[in-house]
Amino acid sequence: MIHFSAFEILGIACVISLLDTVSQICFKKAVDEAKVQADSFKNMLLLTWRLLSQLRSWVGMWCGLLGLFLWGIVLFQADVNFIFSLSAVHFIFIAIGAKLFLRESFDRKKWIATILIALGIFIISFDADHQPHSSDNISSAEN
Amino acid sequence: MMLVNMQLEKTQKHYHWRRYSSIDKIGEAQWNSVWTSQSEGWDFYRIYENAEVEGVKFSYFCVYCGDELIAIAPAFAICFNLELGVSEKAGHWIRQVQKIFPKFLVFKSVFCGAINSERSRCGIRGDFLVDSENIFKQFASALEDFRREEGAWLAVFKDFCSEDDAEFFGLSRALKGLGYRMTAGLPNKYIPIHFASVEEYLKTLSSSTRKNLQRKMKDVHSLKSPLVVEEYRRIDGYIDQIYDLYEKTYRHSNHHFEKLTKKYFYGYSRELKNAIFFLYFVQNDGQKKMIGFNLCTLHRDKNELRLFDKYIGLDYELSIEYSLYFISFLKNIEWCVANKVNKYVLNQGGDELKNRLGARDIPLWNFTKVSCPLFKNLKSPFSLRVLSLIFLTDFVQFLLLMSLKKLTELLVPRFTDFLNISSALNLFVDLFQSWPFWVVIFSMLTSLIVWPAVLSFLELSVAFPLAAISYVIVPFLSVLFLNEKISGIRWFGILLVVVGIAILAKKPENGKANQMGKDL
Repeated sequence: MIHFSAFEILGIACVISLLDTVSQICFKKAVDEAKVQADSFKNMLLLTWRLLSQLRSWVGMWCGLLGLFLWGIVLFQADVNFIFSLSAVHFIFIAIGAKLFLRESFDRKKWIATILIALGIFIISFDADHQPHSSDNISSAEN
Repeated sequence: MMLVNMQLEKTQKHYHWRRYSSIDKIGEAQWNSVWTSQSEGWDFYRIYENAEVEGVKFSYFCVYCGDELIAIAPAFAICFNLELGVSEKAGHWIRQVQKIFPKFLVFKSVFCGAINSERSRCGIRGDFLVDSENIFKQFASALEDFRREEGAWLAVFKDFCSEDDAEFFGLSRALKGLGYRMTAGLPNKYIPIHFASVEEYLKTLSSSTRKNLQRKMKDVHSLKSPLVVEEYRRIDGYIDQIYDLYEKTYRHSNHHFEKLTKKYFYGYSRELKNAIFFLYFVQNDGQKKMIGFNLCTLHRDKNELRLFDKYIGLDYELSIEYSLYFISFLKNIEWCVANKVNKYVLNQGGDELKNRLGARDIPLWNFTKVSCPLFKNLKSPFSLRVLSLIFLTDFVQFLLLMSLKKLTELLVPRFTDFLNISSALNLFVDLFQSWPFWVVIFSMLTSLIVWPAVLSFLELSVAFPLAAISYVIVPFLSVLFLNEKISGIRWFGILLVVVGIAILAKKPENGKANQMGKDL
């Protein structure tokens, strides 16, 4: 059985974030293309239907699934709370991706808010006192 | 009838409304031309308007057919302060916050209907009653205008009675498709007076209630200081005492709406022809002390004479000793019998007690429309719909990760099973039979529908950080359901996330994402 160190877990989390960023950008582009505002349940289904007919959303879906697969592997090694908190870097990737590929508007407030959220999540994930199932713990338990 | 309908079809297009901020601008003659048999009309609203009740603003909707006035509906705006409806301790804290933020927990609402009456009525000229639906559409339009002007979140058609057939039918049809929700209001209670004496009325009650009332009457008669009841139409000399008792009762009550003024009671005394004041005195050492009052109004409506019990004011210390509430109730029954009144109408609340006293219900209905930006503005990240979609996404995400963890716990130890066809088949069978597998599938499918819905409203760079609200929710859920402990530093991280979300959600416009919405 392969065991990951905390840094390796962080590395995988970065790859997952990258995959998810690609997935999100693809989805957002596809949603914009679909030109449906999901203001009713019927329109939600219509939007999903239109997304299914776009290549972009399929690329997004596969990237998302691959990310999910990696999540599955990492999740086996750490507790939900810890892993869920690791993706601080996710927000930065998404912000940069949205700025570069979706040409979304960014002002100072938006950057500050994004950085605060990322920082908050970074602090949560580096709260060393609360990494209950690091690989060492699992190894020692197995021994 | 056909002729009337044809006539109406011709005239429908000419309906229009005007709003007046004062009843004097309409004029008594004009008002009475449409407000015919209704109980509380011109003088009642004039008294209320001139009473300078704090926080209440009146408006009168007049519907015209051409230049002809054909209908009037009273309306009012009121600030409902939540401080008044909570416990004394909570009220104290709310008042402290309100010193800095005066509008904290104060909600402005506009109402169409009577401010304080037995039931709401609109005056519609008899020959136009058949078209009440279109007239109420005009009232709804005027109410919306009033709501916008006042910046209120709630618009309510208040306390309409389903017994008023034509009006109620027109109202409920007119409001269809306008976003109003019909809810039952507090019913009014009445006692049909079909007995010849109070004794006969007492016989209609259950034996325990009857004995209880008889005992109270007996006790009052045996008290050293006798109770004296006096009936007045004008109470100018007693106004201070009456207002003092009103204030005592107001403070004693848990539910407050508007606080009446002395001027209001003066108005009833001087201008309202059908107001009756029952004053309750205790004779003590040759001195008369007022320990309670009961203000009633008498109406004739649809050939029916009704006594409406409007306000009661009690000196609580003495009123219990003298069972003043029950004594005044029996006094009113006695008055109704003596004056051939058909119905004694009680005010709202205290249902259980009133039912024991033989009261029947007058069902009242409210039609409410919420126009809060939180609910309405889909383009705002604070929109309830978008937020609920984000919450749903986060919940599904949480569900997905939890079940994925369970699934990997099942799969990883049996990874080598994939090398052998039969064991791989067994593994798949086990997989299909395990709940985490189906939760993963369900969560993924739900995500596929819900998340694009969020993206259809917001920019990705706004929606995604907003979804970080799960970093606040998940630790709470972990503490609650997984018994995990959260350290101080982690709470600090959570706080940063909350601040970030607050800044992001406060951003006034979220640009391009909603360009699509604008295009649509």
